[in-house]
Amino acid sequence: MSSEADLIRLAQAGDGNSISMIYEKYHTGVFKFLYYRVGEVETAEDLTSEVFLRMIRSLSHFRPQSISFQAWLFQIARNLSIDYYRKQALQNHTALEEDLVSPDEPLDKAVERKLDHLNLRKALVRLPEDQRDVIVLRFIVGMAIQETASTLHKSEDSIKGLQRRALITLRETLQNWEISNV
Amino acid sequence: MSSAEDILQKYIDALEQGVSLDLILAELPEEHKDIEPLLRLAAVLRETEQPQPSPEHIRTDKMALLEEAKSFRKTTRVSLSRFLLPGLPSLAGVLALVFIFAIISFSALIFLQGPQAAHAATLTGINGLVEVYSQRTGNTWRMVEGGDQIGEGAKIRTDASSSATLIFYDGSRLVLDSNTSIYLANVDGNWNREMQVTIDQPSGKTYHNVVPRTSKSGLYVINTPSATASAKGTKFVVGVEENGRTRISVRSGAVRLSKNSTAIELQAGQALTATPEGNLENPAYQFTIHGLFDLNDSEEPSVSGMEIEVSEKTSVSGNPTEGDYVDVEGRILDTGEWVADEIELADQDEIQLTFSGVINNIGETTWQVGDSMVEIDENTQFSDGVDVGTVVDVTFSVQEDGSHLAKEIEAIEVPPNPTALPSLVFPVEEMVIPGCDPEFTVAATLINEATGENDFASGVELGYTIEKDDGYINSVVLEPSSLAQIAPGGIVDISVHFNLSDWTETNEGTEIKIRVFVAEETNRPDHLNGQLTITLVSTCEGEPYPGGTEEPFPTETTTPTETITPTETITPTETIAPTETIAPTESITPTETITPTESITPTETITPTESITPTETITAIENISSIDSCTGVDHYPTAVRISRIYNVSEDEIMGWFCDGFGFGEIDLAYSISLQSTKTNTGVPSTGVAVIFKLRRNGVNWGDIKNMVESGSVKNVKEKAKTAFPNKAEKTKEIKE
Repeated sequence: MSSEADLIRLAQAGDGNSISMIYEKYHTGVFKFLYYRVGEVETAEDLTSEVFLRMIRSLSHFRPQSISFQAWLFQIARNLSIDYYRKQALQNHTALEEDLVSPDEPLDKAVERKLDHLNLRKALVRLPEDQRDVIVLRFIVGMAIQETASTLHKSEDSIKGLQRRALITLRETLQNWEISNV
Repeated sequence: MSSAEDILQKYIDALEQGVSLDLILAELPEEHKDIEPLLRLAAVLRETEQPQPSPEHIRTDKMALLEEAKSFRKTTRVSLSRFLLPGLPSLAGVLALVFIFAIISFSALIFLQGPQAAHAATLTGINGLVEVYSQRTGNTWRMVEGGDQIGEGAKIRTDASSSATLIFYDGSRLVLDSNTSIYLANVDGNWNREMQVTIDQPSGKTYHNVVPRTSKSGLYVINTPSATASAKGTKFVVGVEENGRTRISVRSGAVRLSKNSTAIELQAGQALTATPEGNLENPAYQFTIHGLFDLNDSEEPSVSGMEIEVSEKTSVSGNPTEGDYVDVEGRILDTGEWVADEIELADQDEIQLTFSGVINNIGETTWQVGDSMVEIDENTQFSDGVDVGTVVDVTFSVQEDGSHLAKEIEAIEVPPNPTALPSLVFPVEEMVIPGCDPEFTVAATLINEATGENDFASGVELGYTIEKDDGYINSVVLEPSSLAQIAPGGIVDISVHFNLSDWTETNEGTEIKIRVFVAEETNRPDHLNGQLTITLVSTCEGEPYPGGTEEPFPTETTTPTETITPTETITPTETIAPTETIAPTESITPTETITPTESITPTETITPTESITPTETITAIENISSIDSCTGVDHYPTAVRISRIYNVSEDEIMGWFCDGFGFGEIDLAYSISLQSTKTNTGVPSTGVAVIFKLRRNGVNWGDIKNMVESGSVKNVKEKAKTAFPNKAEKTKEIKE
């Protein structure tokens, strides 16, 4: 396979091998992104499956000249998670953030004070949604500034600003919790 | 953009390029030491152990993807041109002739078979887990999301707490309750919308609303293990227990039941039970009770004071005990016994007792309904058409002495008045609604055009059919869907609420079409002409917004500036004729970009002078040339899309946007304006400028829409004309 463009073109034609390669390349990132949005591994897994199914169904509409494939795929993931929240709200479920931790609740004293994904998830809940998305896409998924901007429909400057503000707020939260390695 | 953010990004870039944190921090200049903790955090975040999807999940995911890819390949269209080989013109010609012949034959076959949509029903209103088994699903049970076309030979089943609705070509509806399964044995129909539907129902409960059949060929049949029910326009319920015992109750119209060469007609208000082994019982009027279960000292239990007969045939679910709220459905036998057919734990704590029957006698304080005596008092409510011989529902309470006090007596079916000649029409028969919202409501109007004072329409039932849909319709709700009476000249507002799935992912121009129609009217059942076609046209852009229901809207950059006011801008170019008063004509360059369409005709739209001062105008015009810079973005896809839909310039759209209106509002304004189009001229009678003006003055969108549709906006225009009799006067005022 010479390039991602070829991979996408073959996938658009229904080539199973190419679809499989795309899945291999992106599924972990999509999963992590969804995990930090929904807060549950199982739900993130289910939504990840749905993201890739929708990817196949929508591949014919994908135009590489207007957006990168990665940004497009993560837009699907983001929109799906938004739909998921809405459905939860419709079913009168408590918002996941509220379920997870109340804003003023300190971390359990028994937990080891090192940053792990559980603590990080709890801390990220305190951030505004766009700041949280930037942190996850930039440092957990490892997405470049330009791709992050494209995914979140924002300018690169805006992402840089959100990134700085998010790091400051996150650090304050983690320091309050006496997380040792930050 | 502050430099702090750029500087931070510069060092994060280094981190991402593999430079060690220690090295970065060692070389961090003193003046940038404040970003050290942020860089440390960024490095920790990058290295924090993350959860991973399970290997089992990855395996099943991949399999599902490959399955999906296969079906994708199957649906890829094969180009005909591949078969018309170059260099073989004669063969191509022959093939073309064969092709044309095949098309003609196929068309004839299609005509004889009837419309394609008649061979399937649309599955909507999915709630919970609903599965379909058919050839299309590969003969396996597959979960459905709604909008699927379900054809002959398919099975549908619902899980606990789940439900779904099937809508047939003629508008008949079937609702599957929880734990129900059905098999579509036959779904067929002709171009006259005469349907033949046969459904096997081995278990569960179904609710039917069948559009009246106007000829003998129309057929709607439900087969259960215990009886066959056929209807020609009615509402009825079929419940089948695990042992095959069936209960059928009729809400309106009549249902013919048959078994072992015996046939019985069940009338409105009646119910009947049947077992697989036994013959059909006699029909009896039904009762429903929601209330408190009481196992009192007497032999029989009671529910909220009403004693009921429970036998081994009574189906009891949820194991209700004393003090629980229960739902009871039963029949009033000839012996006067109230026999419970079903008792189940209620979802809600409510008390309501209702029974059906024919009014046999009307007294001062006591009425006889069936064999039951009910008392009435000054609080008793009566519906229209209640008289001796009418089949009614009586809602009542049990008094201390055991007597029944009627709270409401409502006619189930008002006897037709053959002298009444109502004429129900939708004054607007076609509506085209552009939009991208997954959920919205269309307002329509139904009118009884008849003028005679007795020409009441009664027992009006509305129905709808889905004419065109590719699986986007989740549900359509008509509100109201039935009306007891519409007086001559009466106007009824109907709202059609759409709930769509995946609509926001559609490409621009995708269409959904439904037909709303008058399905039933008692007084003039052969004169059901009213119908309305609603076409929804997608204004979504499938690609930039994949997967969900949120607009891909660059919210950060959309903050409109308050300086540009297109209405005022455009006005003076027409009204302020003397150019010397507005000297900087060179700044009014973009005349082609803001073409003053008829919709922005100043004499009609702009009212008072205070808002059209020359200074304001000049400012606005100067700003027009920099409309792009109002957001800092050259082209908004949404603006381009809206401009194409309504055939106006992109700058005109951006003008409104920069004036503070959202794209959704702009889309809506043009859509409303379009709806006011006079068919003979094709020119919108209400321009968008008027609509935006009303909106700016605080009128809500619903009222604006109503005003435009009712034509009351014209009155506003007339007032404006009175205020400004002619251009000269207006110009004079502006000059001053």
